[in-house]
Amino acid sequence: MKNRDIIWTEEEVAARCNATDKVASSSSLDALLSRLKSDPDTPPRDALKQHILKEVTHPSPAPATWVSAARVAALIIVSAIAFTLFHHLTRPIDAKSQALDRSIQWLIDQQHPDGGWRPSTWGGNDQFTAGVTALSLLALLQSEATEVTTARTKAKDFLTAQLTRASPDRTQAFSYNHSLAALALLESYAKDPDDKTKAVIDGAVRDIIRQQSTSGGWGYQVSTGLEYGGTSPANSAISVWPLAVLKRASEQGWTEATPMVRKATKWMGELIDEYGLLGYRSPGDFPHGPDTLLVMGLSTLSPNDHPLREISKPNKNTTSDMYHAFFTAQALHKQASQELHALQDHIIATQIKDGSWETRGKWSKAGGRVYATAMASMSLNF
Amino acid sequence: MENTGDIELMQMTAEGSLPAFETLVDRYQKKMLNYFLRMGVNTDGEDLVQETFVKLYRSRLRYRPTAKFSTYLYTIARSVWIDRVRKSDRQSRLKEAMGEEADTQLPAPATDQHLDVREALGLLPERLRSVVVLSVFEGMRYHEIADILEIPEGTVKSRMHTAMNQLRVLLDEK
Repeated sequence: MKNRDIIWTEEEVAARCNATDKVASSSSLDALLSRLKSDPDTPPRDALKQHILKEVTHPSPAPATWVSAARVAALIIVSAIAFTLFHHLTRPIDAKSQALDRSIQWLIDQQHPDGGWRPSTWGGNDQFTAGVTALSLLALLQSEATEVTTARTKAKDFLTAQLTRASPDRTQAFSYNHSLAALALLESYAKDPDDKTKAVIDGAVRDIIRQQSTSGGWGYQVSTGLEYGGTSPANSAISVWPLAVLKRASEQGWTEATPMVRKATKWMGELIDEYGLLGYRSPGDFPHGPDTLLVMGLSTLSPNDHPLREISKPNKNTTSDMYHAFFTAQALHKQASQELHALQDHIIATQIKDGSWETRGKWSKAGGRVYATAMASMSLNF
Repeated sequence: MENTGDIELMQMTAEGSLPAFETLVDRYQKKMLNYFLRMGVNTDGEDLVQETFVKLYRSRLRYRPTAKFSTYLYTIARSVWIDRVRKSDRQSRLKEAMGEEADTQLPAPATDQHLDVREALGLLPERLRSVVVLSVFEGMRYHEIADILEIPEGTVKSRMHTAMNQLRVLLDEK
């Protein structure tokens, strides 16, 4: 008999759903309850609690009465219409292009004579000089302006020198510096190939393959006691960068990178939990929350490779962390989501008059304003 | 704080302890979110959770431990949900008046596969869905559900019976 042909009595249902009743129940009812209970719980975002606490400790002002609420609403509507009309009539033809031009000019102005950018000049840490220089070069490579050519060449030479140093600094910044520099040189090589850069990339790709763990991911290269190629436990946050390097290298003909990309992709797929979230070192592992890891995963993996949940709308604080904003923009771009434009409008709205962006978020003390500006600039290019 | 009971935490909150309130948020935010999601909220579940906890906090001085804390919390959540439904209804009527399709329609049942649990729940009338969500997913007893929904316990029992028989058919549909 099919389930649909069974009719349960009130007592049977009550017996299984309300523990006070003692009436015998049927196995088909148990099966239905079991199926209902198999519906998985959705975890709240880490930021939810902070939003709640903020709201109770610093409540948003509310109009005191219905009449005043109506007045405020009317005022808002009129102001919004006036602002929209004004904005429409006076806004530049392409606000995004203007924001990008200003940010690129700011970056060029901050470049040091040796071709690098010093994060400490703008609130960062000089351990990340190579990484921040690489991000700046990546931003410059996306610009079509002719005045960036010299700055690009100098930056490329700076990174080449960094990657060919006999004994690079093994600080916590090393993994980021190394991968970002390699990625920037790969993008530079794609635009303007030359043998010297190719040789440097050869070495960088070899190093990254050597640093890959047997599981497929990458960890921090921080322990001075480890041989070159030794690694701390692999994690998804750091792994997105070397994986991006190998993917780009594979696309450009470094065939030795291709199987390593597959291996890393498989490993990263194994970090995804039943809720479609990407874990840090294992499924469900979110030492700093799942939000940024999710957009990093969506940016890095192809839709066919993973069951990650899509993001529908960037959360309200996305632009306060340019690292998060960059990956969110990339993820929305891959999803072909219209929300990308709203995010980019937010980013444009937070640009400072001089063309840069304020340093906020987890990485602000590492990369400073140069990093934030390079990331914001790249976020506008999707 | 982790081992402190809900009622004591709520009393500490009333006396001004924010960590006590934070512990309550930690303890119930996931349950609240899933309550709203199973009630059919798709996009702004976390907003409703936030609204619920803000209302809870604002009512901290009025709270009297005459019943389980969770019953009190779900009563607030239920009122937040009702407000949301009324707001949606107003928007639907407005859209209908403007000739647009309302976006609050229940999803059409899948025709080529079994319905999943949330789709099936979404097809139940709200009065039945409420009792199923509170009973099956939140583990509440009938008398607690009766308190939250402000209906007799016997009505909870009959609604639950109707709901389970409808769910059985819905989930057995091809």
